[in-house]
Amino acid sequence: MNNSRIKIAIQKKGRLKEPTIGFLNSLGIEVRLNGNELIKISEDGDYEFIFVRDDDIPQYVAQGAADFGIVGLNVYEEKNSKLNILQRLSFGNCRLVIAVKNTSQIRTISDLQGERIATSYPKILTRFLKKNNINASIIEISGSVESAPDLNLADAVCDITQSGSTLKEHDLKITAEIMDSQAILIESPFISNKKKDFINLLINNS
Amino acid sequence: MKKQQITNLKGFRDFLPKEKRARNFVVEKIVEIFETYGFQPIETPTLEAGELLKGKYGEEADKLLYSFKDRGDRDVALRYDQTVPTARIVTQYKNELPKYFRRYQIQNVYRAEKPQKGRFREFTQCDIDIFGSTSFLTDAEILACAYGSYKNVGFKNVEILINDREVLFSNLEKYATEKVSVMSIIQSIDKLDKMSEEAIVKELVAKGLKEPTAKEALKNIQNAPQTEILEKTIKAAKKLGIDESSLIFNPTLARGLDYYNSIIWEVVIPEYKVGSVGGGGRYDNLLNELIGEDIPATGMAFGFDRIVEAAIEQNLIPQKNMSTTVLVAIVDEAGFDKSMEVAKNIRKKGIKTEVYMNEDDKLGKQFKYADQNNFKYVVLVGGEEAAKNVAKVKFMDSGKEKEVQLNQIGEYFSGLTDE
Repeated sequence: MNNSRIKIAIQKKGRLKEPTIGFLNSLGIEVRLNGNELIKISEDGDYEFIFVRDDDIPQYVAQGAADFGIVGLNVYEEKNSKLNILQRLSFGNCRLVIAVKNTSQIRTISDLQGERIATSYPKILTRFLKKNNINASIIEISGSVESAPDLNLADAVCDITQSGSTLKEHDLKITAEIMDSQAILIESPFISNKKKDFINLLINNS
Repeated sequence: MKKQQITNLKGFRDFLPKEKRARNFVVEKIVEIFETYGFQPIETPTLEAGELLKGKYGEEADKLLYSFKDRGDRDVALRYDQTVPTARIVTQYKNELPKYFRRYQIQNVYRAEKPQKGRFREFTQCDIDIFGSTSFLTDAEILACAYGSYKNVGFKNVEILINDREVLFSNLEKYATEKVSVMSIIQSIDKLDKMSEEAIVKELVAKGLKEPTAKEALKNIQNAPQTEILEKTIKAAKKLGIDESSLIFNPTLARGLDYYNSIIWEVVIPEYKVGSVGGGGRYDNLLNELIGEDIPATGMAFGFDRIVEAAIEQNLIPQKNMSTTVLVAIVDEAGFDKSMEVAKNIRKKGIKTEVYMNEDDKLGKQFKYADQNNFKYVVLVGGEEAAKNVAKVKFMDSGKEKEVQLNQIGEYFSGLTDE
């Protein structure tokens, strides 16, 4: 293992993968993919890209298995991560919202009292509800959250939306906005001074 | 029949649910840390042989021992502290216990004190000790464990004042005279936390020291350096987790000195003005004196009542879940079976649930009971709901009613942000 190599954790699959690679390329850090490698070393040998599930990225960076990570702010917040955010990267923009069926009687945040809300973001949602003094039942599911109301599993959903088209497809309307999200660059607490050069490269190019 | 006066004995306390919960909370929090440091629980009997306890605590203390003849005319006594019974344990079970035995013990002890404010005839002692090692590591482990325990109760500021008995002896011996022993000087200097320097000097002069000598002794001890063992202990304890500023060398700390032979310490919560909340030290010779076994030991006592009082003062006792959360009302015959199942399924999720205790009472009376006893939710399954396979959940604070599928009721409650 080469310890001077800069290790960057990147989403393996999902909406941030392509823009992340594009962003690194724009900094002159070439990421060439062939196949489904989980660890890839750049041609010049200076960088190592670690492809992992996005919700594991903060953990890899926190433990020092990666020096940097590029991850959505929504994931960072859900993991309650305390890692230093080096930069907000202005891509992968989305919003975390609460939505209900178009026919629902729920119109405002306070109408959510006692209702069931399906989500993959239970921690952010809990904080939001507590802040607003709402006691609602959080149904934690890991995907396809938007169909929960149709299956009578929940009265509302809390999920990320970019264009709003998925919500529309499921006859859902937004009741509350919880947060704006975008891709962020996080750094490991164990990072060496030498690797701080990477930061300078970023700052000079942004 | 003449009506008997129903009351507790003087010097003995009752703890009603609210107070008992506060005490349980503190126990739970400190035991959690004791366990992570590898301390193991023990319990000893309330009654011991009289000869085991008599003469072990000094003449004055013997008078406070609850001792009597049992029905078989044997001399017995109530547990007076946890040290002597533990000394018995480590001797009696020497071959079964680990070489470096770390134990915790939280039990009540009995002393025939004159009841007064803050002094009781039955009170809880809470100790951790490690037997079998003279290494500074033992002290460092106990210190780190103690610090972690107080922090886990929720105290923001915890200070541990630490000293080595050797610091006192080596720096004060030279001031001792035929009339004033070094112990006597130490006893005066130990009062520095309660008395001014002038008053200490005055006391030493009254004991027989010359004023310049008394002043010099005081100055000398205040500027005394740490011993090597103290430095090693402090360094290791900090590496084990005590905050840099929380472990403080205090060369005038003496802690009565009775049986400690090396490192001693005292725990203080700065905002709590009543006094120290714990203390301990190394007592390598005590077990030998008590039971003739040469087993080195170090340990400490937590001032349990004071910790609870300080925790209440600082609002550290969670008020949540003080009362039961859910009341399952009894609506009608048709919904009865499903109501029982609902109670079972909510309890499966660990939510505190009570079934209403009179099936003949009207719903109004049941709601009044829920209100008076701070239930947050009332769950109702009548014939109407049972037919639809739902339960009606009423939120007592907002009045909101929500119908929940019977097969989702447990998940519903465990998902609630307030629970």
